[in-house]
Amino acid sequence: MSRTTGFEQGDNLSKAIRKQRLMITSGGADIAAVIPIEDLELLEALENYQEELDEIEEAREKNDLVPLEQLGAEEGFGRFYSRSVSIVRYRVRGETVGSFWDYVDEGVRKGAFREIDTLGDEVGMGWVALEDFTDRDFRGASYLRGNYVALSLRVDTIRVPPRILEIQVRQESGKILEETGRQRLSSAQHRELKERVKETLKRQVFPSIQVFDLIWDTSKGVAYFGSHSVKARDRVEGHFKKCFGLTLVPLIPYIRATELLADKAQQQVLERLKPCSMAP
Amino acid sequence: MDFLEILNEKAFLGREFLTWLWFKCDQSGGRIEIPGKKVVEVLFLDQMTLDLSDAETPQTVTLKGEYSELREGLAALREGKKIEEARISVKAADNDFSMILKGTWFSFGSLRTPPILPASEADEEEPIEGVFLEKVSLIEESMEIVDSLFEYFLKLRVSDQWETEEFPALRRWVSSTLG
Repeated sequence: MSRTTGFEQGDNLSKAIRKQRLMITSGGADIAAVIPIEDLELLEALENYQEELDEIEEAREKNDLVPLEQLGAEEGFGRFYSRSVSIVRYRVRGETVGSFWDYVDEGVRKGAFREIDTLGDEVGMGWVALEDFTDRDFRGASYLRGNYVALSLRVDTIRVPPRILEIQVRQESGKILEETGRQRLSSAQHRELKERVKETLKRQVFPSIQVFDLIWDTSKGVAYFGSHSVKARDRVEGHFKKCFGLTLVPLIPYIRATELLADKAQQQVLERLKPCSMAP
Repeated sequence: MDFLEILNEKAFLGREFLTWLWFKCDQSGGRIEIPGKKVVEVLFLDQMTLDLSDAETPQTVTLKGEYSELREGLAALREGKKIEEARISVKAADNDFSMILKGTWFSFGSLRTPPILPASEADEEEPIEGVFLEKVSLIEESMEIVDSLFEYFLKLRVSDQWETEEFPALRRWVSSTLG
């Protein structure tokens, strides 16, 4: 590795660094490095890889990794009818307008599954029939069962394999550089290129189809959702609000407690309750 | 208080409930009599996670195995940890349910209800609706059982009896198994 204290190499600089890394030193200490463009690309690829690792780590911390049992959701495992289901309870809060069942029907139709044609990983989302995730018009069976509204939230996402994307981006940027005779793309150009390549690749990848059941008991004002995943919960909470104008409030212990303790005095004690130490 | 504040500041309530439930089970051989209501059979099965709620960095212990091995969780209780989730089975009338009950979210993981009849046998005219309603009613039954246990705990927790009887007994239980 060559070392230099400045740009005394002048015109020779570009020649010097084309094939090797060049250290810039100050007072005997290395302070910066000039590296060949291939190395920079490698570094950026590593950064992308690190980002993915960080995402996984973040999901792990938030407990948002998809458990094995849910990976089979496409085939119907871990869903309402299966032997083993995961359920988050919600209180349904808010007011409806006009005839209740007309209001619900409008919300279901408004939020029925549809393809999404915008940037991003999500390519389709919305309500489908509980028994048939391809039925967005509820032709097979009504969503209405007694006082229950039975829906499934279908979410289609596309994830372009990161390394495939990397290869394509490199090929494309190589072509552009060759055509323009430039050394490298600016970071804005690189981002724009990556987005464009990703959109093209999206058409070549099959979406992953996830289906989460939502059973709304309209007489009790409570809803059961079939997943613990933070992402899935965010989606159903947002979609439910958008379609029905109603809020899904998770029935966490304290909120359920305020409902179970009817007595005012008991509620006041509950409000002031502090954790107690069970250790000796 | 907004939702996130409640979630963070009151998370202890669910954990204390699960910890108390284990104590109650261990004391009564799994038969919990809810005053004026019913008897619920509760069993702690093969999986438990304990969490140190007030620590700056989360400290969790997960135990798996037979009931005797779960008793190692008592050591974690003595370190001040509380149960964050546990696989339990509950039974109030004829039906048996098992689930992983979660303390912070009060949610139900891997909930297993008794099997339901195939559509053709259940209801000839409205097969889908019949099966659906049967499954829903089973799910709701399991939640009502858990709610009734939670309500029992809450009424004790906000009463004077908590400080004078229940809590001292719970602490004795935690420390009695020392050694």
